Order: sequence, then structure tokens, then C-alpha cells
Amino acid sequence: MLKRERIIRRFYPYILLLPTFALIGVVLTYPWIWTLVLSLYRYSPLYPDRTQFIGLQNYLKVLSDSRFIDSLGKTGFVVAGSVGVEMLVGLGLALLLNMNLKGRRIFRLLILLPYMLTPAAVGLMWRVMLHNEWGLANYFLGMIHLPKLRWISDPHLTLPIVILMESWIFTPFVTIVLLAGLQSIPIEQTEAARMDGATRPQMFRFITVPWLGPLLLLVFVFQLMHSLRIFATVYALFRSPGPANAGMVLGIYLYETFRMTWDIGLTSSISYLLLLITALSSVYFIIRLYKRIT
Amino acid sequence: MKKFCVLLVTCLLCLVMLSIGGSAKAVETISFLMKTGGGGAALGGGVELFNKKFEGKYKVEMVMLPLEQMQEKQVIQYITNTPTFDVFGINPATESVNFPNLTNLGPNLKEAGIDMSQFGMLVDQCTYQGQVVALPVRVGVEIVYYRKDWLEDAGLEVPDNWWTYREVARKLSKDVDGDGKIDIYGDFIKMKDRWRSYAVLKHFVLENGLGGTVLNASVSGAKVENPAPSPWLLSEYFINGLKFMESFWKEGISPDPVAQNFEENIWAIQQGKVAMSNMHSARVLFIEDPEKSKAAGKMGYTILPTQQLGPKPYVKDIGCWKLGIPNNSQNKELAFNFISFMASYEAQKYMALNYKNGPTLLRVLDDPDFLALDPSLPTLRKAYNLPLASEMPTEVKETEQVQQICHEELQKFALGIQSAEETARNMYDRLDNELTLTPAW
Repeated sequence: MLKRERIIRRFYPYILLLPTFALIGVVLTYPWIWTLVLSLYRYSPLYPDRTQFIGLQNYLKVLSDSRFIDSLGKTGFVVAGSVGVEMLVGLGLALLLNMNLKGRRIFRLLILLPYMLTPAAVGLMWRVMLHNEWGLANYFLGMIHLPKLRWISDPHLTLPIVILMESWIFTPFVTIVLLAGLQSIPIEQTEAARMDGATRPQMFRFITVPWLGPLLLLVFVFQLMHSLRIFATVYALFRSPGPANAGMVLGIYLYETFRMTWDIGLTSSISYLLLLITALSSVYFIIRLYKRIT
Repeated sequence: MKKFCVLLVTCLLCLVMLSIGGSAKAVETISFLMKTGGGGAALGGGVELFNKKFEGKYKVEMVMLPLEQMQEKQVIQYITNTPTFDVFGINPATESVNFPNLTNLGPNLKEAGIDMSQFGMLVDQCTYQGQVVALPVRVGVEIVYYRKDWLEDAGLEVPDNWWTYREVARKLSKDVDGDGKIDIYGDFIKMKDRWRSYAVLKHFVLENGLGGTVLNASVSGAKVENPAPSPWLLSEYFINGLKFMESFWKEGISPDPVAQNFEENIWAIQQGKVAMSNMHSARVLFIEDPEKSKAAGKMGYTILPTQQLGPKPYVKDIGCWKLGIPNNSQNKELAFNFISFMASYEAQKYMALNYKNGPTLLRVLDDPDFLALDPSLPTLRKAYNLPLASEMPTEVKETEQVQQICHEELQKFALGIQSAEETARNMYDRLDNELTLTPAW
């Protein structure tokens, strides 16, 4: 009896967790495995009778495609730009909102507004604002006698605009998370430092940053993983990969490849490569974060 | 007692839900997937009419999605073989994905006594490998929208060829506020997305004596094995056509084409920023809406200009929306009843009168009730009579890959990255090397 009770007690948590794992297994694991299997085939819904196992040929095809390499470079540029801006501006805004300023409660609310909008709605909104002929951006440039820019059609401006839009949407998220972190810094530490004659930069360097360290790393990882998979904002803004494919980031490359070829196998291999890139670029930071937390 | 009450309420609720479910089943229902926008709104009117006519017996549930999402839903239904929808809306851009997976309507048409010849030239657009797989329900052609009042004020005639069209556009381009920048454009070329880029290439160049297509018109038959680029792409005619097109934005007659698509075109006309432009005839609805458009009541319409750019005869491209039944539909009989109703005189007239739908039955166009309602109708009637572009097999005709290749090269040309000669050469080479349709499979 005692042995039976011990066995039940030992396995009871797993039995309770079984429905959750089953759901995760179906919703997450099955598509992962199925996508991996599909990536080893040449398969199109237009010609299902011509499905053929081709091993790693899809992966080799993608890796040797100059457009894929080009999209990697563009994605890297967008990631570096957007994550950098989001972290710097987000931290700056969090520090500002942490100060005892008048109206800070309203600002804290207003700052969340961009984050509440869907990326597709943001893309459409910016499309109207940035219209070359009749958009608000060029209107204001004209008011201060600056030359109008070809926001939507100049390939050199495409990625900076994407960085700007992404930063506009996601900086509030970074701000709110870091603000919560700032507000959890024990007040005694800052008071003690002030009494010891520490300057503001010193307090920031030796108190604020170490305390915020895990949170900074956390938001960095989130934003990194998100930025690698940008799609909705670019597509809503340009409804294409942008002028002369200047906005062909990895997400757009994947989508366009599918639309052009209807080759599920090839597209699955691209999605797996994207998964691999996301995992490889964030695993180091995740391990560091885990070590800091534990 | 408490437990008994809870049990009783639960049983009652189950009974109520069962009875609702039971009564719902008594009405035979099918689901119909269509694109949002004017087409969806117009066909929605037809669905409404069908549901009203067959109330209590049949019901059609319509789902509207943006074009890309609609196409994805269609492909998912084929891949997963899940019969979510019984009827699909299909346009030329989505034919290649759908046609191989649609039901052959031949036996049903024969049984119902429906004569396909009443749809005229649109029959070819509903046929795949010799079988009728869809029925046409909405037609549209590219026509010229022009400001009648501005043309009259300037003493100009409505242009009928591209050379006079450019002259008229030049004269109508204005710098209203004297700041040295054009405020009203004579024309509005759109190359932001691949559908528009390809349409621009066709209207300005390909239809005007070059066969109407970028692919080799001699490649024909039920199954294309090796689609090849048209040799006309390397001709002086094609290069001159590109240069002619380029003159519009280089001279400032049209705004930067890479930044424009049909939505910007509609806004621009509505706001009185454009004197002339060519667009799908279905957009008349938006331009003539007095609540949104400053140009309402001031517009004129005519068929696209022509010019003999190359040695082949002028051809026209008319696209239509059609309705087809996927092979895995669970209710093909009702689905056929629905689509044949939508293509009938009754529904076509109703949709045209009430929803500005472009009718697919020619005799509907001759109905005198229309003229008062849709000022673009005479133009539409005229456009129907023009010779069609050479028919390419569905596997390659207007596929997105063909459009995308042309679009990318045209955008580089419009941005000044490459010359007309380089554009022609690159387009030819890429169509020769990159098409991954039947040859790859």
C-alpha cells in the first residue's frame, strides 16, 4: 500500500501535467516535426502527384540563393537598428518616466498607445503619412523648407523606415518593462549612494544598470527574436518586398518564395533555417540570462 | 437541491442547443470564399438575393478576405483536403492555383441546359484543359478615367492613342500654387505592386502590337512543358515602348510610379489631384461617390488608348471573377445551383443595378436601366468587343512568378537603376531561367 501510494505520489504531478503536454505536443511539436519532414520533400499543392523525397536539396538551394543571402544582410541591418534604438530610447524613456515629473501618469499611458496597435494598422498608417506626394511627412518637411523625400520609393530609405516603424511600435514595451525594473530598485541603495557623494552617472553605472541587468537582457532577447521575424509592418507598408526588393527581410523572403513557387518543401526549409538563425542568435543570451537569474 | 437545479438547467441548455442545431441543419448551407473590396460587396449582393429567394431551403454563408489571405485559404483547403468552403471566388491571378483543383462543370451545365456561349469571350477564362471549371460572375476592364470638365476647359479632345494621351496629360499637368512643383498630374502610373506593374507593361507596351504577353504566344496547348519568354522582349519595339512609358514620370506628367498603387490612384482622383488615369472599371463606384469624391459627376470614361507599337494586331485583356467548386466540396449540387444562379440574368442584373457589378452576360449590358446608373457602361460595352490577348495556358498565364519578375525589372527601370535595354534583357533572361512551373516539376 505504502509503495503504491509512493508511486502514485511520484507520478501524480506528471499525470496532471499530461493534458498540457498533450496540447503543447499537438499544437507545437507536431507542426515542427511535420514542417521538418516537408522540408525534405519537393511538394506543391498544385502538383501533389509529383511529390518527391529530395533530402537536403531544399536547404542547399536556399543557402545558395543570392536572395536569401541578401535578405540575411537586410535582416541583420534591421535587427541591429531596431533593437539598438528600442533599447536605448526605451531605457531613456523609462528613466524619464521614473522621475518625479508632472503628468508622468498620463505619459505612461500615452506611451503605450503605439504598442496597442496591430502591425498591419501601423503599416497602413505610416503608408499614408509617408506618401511621397501627399503624405504628412513631406508636408512638414515642406513647411520648414526642406526637400521632400521619396519615402516609399527610394530603396535607400526603405530599411531605415522599417527600423523607425518597428522602434515606434516596440519601444513602449521596452520602456514599460524597464520602468517596472527601475521602480523595484531599493530606494536605500540610491540614497546611500547619494549620501556617499555618488554622481548621477555613477549611480546609473553602479546601481541602476546592475539591477536592471537581467531585465535588459530579457527584453533584448525578446526584441532580437521578434526583429528576426519581421513581416507584417513591411508588407503593410509596401504590399511587396519594397522598391527594388529593398525591404526583402527574411520574413518577406519566405512569404514571397511561397507565393512565387507554391513549393511547400522549399518554404518549409526556409522556415527551419529562420528558426535555426533565431535560436543560434539568442541561445547565448538565454543561457546568460538563466545564469543571472539562478 | 442545489445540485439538482444545476443539473436541470444544464439539461435544458443542452436541449435548447440541440434544437437550434437541429433546426439549423434543416436549411442546407454552403460556404463561399471571396475577396474583400468592390467584388466582395457586389457578389455579396448576389448572395443576399439567393438567400432571400431560397429562404428556409438553402443558405450561402459568405466569407470575405483580402486577396492574399483568400488565396492562402484556397491552397490550404487543397493541401489539407479539408472541405471548408464549397465555392471559391477566382480571378486571373488565382487561376493557376485553383483550376487544377476545381470540379468539371460540364455535366451539370448540360443537365441544367446552360449555354456557355452567352458569356462570349469569357468562356475561355473559365476553361481548364478543355473543361469548364467555373462560371463568370464579374467582369472588369481597364478604362481611362478623365476629368471631363478640365478637358473641356482646356479645349482638348479625349485621346484615342497613347501619343495624344501623353500630349493631353502634359497640358493638364499643373503647378497650381506656383512653387515649381506639379500639384495636379496629367496621368498616374502605378508600379508599387506586381499586379499593377504588369498591367502597366501590358497597357503601354505589350497589347500595342506585341502579342499582349511576355511569354511566347506560340507555346500553347493543354499542358505547357517549356514556357518561353516572348522574342518581342528583345525587340526595338519593346524597348521603345519602355522609353515611351518612362517619359511620363521623367517629365513629371505622372508622380513617382514606384510609390503608387490603385488605392493611391483612387484617393488622388477623389481629391482632384489627377486629370487622367487608367484603372479597372469597377473603381467607378468609388470615384462617383459624392460623399468621398470631389470628382463625382465630373468624370468621363473611355477605352484605353491604342497605338501600333509593334507589327502584331492590337489586343485587349479582359479579366473576370468566376466562381468554381473545389473538388473536395461536400455539397457540389447546391454549390452548382448557387454559382449558376450568380451567373444568371436575374442575379447579374440585380448586382449590376444595385452594386455596380460589371456583368458577364452581354445582354445585361444592353438593358436600358443601366445607362443612367453607371456612366462607364458604354465604355465597358465597347471594350468587350475588342480582340482578346492571346490565350496562354493556365499554368503560366498571369502567374505571380511571371508578374513578379516583370515587376522587379520594371521597378529598377523606374528607379533609374537600369536602362530600357537592360530591363528588356534582364526580363527575357529571367523569364527564360527562373520560371519554376511545369518544367521544374
